[in-house]
Amino acid sequence: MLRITLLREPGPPMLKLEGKLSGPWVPELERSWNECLNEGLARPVQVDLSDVTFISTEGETLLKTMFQQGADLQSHSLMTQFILSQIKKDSNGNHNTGNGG
Amino acid sequence: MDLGQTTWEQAHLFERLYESLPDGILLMNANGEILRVNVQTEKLFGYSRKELLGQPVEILIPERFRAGHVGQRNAYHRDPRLRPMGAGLELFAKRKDGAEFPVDIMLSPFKTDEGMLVVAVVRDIKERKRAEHALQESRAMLEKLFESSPDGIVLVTSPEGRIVRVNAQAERISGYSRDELVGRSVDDFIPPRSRNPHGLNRLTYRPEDRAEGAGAILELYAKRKDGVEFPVEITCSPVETDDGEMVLGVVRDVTARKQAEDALRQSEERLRSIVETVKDYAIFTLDPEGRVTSWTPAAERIKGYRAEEIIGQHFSRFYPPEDIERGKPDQELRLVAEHGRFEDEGWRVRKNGSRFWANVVVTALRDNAGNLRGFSKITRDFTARKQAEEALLLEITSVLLSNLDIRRLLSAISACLSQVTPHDYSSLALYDPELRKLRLHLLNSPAGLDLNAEEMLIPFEGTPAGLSFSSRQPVVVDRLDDGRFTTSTIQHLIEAGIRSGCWLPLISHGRPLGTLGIASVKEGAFAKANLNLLSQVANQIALAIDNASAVSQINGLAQRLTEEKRYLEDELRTEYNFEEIIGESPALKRVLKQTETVAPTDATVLILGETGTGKELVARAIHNLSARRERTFVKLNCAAIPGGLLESELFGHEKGAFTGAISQKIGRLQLAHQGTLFLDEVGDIPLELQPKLLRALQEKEFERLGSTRTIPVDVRLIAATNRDLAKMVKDGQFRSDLYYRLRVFPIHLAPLRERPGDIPILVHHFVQKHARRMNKRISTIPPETMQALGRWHWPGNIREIENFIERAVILSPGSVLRVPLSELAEPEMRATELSTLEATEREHILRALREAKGVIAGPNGAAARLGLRRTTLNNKMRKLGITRKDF
Repeated sequence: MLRITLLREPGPPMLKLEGKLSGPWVPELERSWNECLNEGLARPVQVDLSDVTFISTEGETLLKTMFQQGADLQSHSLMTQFILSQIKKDSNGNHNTGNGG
Repeated sequence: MDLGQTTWEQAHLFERLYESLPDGILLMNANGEILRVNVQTEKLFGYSRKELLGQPVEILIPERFRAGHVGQRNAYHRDPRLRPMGAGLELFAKRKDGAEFPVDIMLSPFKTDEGMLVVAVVRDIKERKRAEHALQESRAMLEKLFESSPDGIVLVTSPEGRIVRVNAQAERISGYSRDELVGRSVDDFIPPRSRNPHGLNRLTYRPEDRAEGAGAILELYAKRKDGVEFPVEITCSPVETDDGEMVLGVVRDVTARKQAEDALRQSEERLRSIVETVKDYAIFTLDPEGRVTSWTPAAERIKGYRAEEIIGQHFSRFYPPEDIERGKPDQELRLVAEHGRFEDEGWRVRKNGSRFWANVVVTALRDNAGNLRGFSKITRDFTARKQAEEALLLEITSVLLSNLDIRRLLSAISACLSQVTPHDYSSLALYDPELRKLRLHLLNSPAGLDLNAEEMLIPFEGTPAGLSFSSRQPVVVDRLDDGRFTTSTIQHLIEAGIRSGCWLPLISHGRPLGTLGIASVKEGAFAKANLNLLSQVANQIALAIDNASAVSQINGLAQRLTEEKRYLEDELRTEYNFEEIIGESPALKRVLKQTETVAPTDATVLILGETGTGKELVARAIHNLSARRERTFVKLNCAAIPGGLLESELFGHEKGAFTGAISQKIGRLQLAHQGTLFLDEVGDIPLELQPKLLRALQEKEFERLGSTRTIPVDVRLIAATNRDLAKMVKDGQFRSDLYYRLRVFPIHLAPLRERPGDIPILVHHFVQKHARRMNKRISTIPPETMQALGRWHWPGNIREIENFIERAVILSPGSVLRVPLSELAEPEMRATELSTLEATEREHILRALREAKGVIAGPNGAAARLGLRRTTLNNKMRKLGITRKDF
């Protein structure tokens, strides 16, 4: 299960995720993220993954997309930090490749 | 004949006559002295004969007349003659008891040798006076009646017809004054066209012919002074008067009655005309026994009988044979006779035997005295409507029964209702057995209707829904604001513009489920609603709800089973597989004793101990020894769940309770219903969640996130923590009320370092366990290995020793356990520990050196004080870096 909470204040808007990012919660997060985008929230929208306990492959893909769309992925958890670093690394690599090609 | 004898007999006869006369007779002399009286005198006056004789006659006269009486008596003696007294004189006599009574007196002189005597005959005229008075009153009354009669009364001579006397009403209705009337002929008041027959009638008048009033049937008319004619009813009767035989005519002006009768007749004609031209209603009447007494063309068209063949026949022939067998026709009449009106729908039979669906209204007909005179029946052919209703019902049933999801069902119900009857508001109120109230589900509501959670719960009292549910009958309210129902829910409906409504019970398999409410912004919108159809729709809705509810229940159970299965699978994956608690130390035995003691009770247990001391193992042991062992043991590690999800994990949530709640979730609390809930690391429960947990524990009920429905729960709680809860309470990090609620029965698990005697047995146990699992045969544990294991302080307690032994079994190639003893000195931990020991040891040595004033050797030296050899102390000082300048 994943709980998604949009915190509008204090500070910049932030999506706080708690639980497992997998299965049906991946499209649920995608829906929430799209709502944030459509709402025109101030960028960048922070995404706090500190309390995420599991991220599936689909979840990673979505986070990558979100990152590319301007999400500021953050986490205090070592495991998630590692995954995020991989996502950021891959995204930047792809981005660079894209620019290069 | 002997003369003397004859005289004596005559005297005797006279005497007897004298005594038996009905009047009182007194013989008096000229002085008024009483000489003789008869028996009647004694009776009249109340005196005995002896008392009267010799007395003056004045004693029999009231005092107020006595003075004048003497003079009158003397005057009479001067001119004695037969003289009646009293007629018109109002004479009174006086009894011995003082009572006075009116009398007539006849005086007659009687000459004797002794002079003139007077005989007075006294007659009591009290009764006559009373009769005269009554007669006078009667006459006065008659006179008054005569004058005040609402009818004109005319006294005319017979047979001439000349008016002798009239009363005031005769003046009013004729327009003539009394003077103008008296002396005229009655013919003058008769219209010219009727004068001739009237004259003839008057001449041939016989009293017996006019025993009853004339005119009621004869259409008699009189003529007023102004020439206007008016209808009259006349009663004539002969009277004997001093002036001869006369006729007393009572004349009643019946203009108003005639007008009323004409109006009634016209009304009846109009009604008959309407009734006979109505084509869709068979209207007919029955006598009290049920025989047809009137028949209309529409009745002929609908039922097929002509009037002449059905009038007089019993109405039961209109019913199907099965209804006749059940006695329905007679039962119907009994009901109407009792209640005045009866409405029914059912099959009826035409003359040709075909059936039609009839809507029937029967009304009792009663006279002014309330006696049953018959029945009126209106029958409508509703076959087409019935077919349409059945088609609609079939469609509704099909739609309702195909929706087993309750939310979809509510939408389907809303759609169906709009086909049945126009309305502006509809709702279902379903019975909640836990709250003993009806829970409202709005199907269709007007804008502005805003009900809070409490108002969505409807009590039985004071609400039409509650009344309908309790009585199991439809409740139609023509005006919601009539004061019968005053709950805030109804007030909100009124404020939202709702004016009338209809509430129907939802009954499935004889069990009331709730009510269906339909309401309108119009007053009395449901006064003529087809309750029969609505009730049938309500029945189908009830059936559909029952089905959906059963499906929901099955789904709920299936979901719970799925959740339980998933949970138990998780549990299996993480199961430690402790089958028993290993150890023989007194500390462990104390814990086992406490476990055994508290397990059969339902008391909350708080297990305190460092990590890895076996808190969960003890919790499971408590569950397995309790009466709840057949039910689920549900575990929740509060530290392992993100704070934001803990509430949801514990209490569950409804779909949509928060973003991410994509389906309903049953919480661990509900999963553990009738079982045991083990909250590990309870000290990690966020402060804001603690009141909700406390309430659930105390009230034994909770609500899911996003739901207002309270769920009762029966759970035995076992909590565990390695944290110092008392200190957390002191620091404001844990609620004291929850702490004391949890700390009903605390069990302290000692760390392994405090029970080193249990280490060998644990080592053997884990070696055996893991060797078997890895299909190895380890038969020897070297003594030095066991000693080393026994020396280690095991900060991770049993979990650490098991993991360590598992690793040792993996690393052991043969039958001898090979332990990686170097791992027992974990660098960081050891450094920390040693640092502390070193500091302590250093401080201890320095203290001894200072006390020995820097002397190391000798009996008072520091080495002796410390129980060490001099060389050993020197080595330690070198190792700890202690130099002379330090002491």
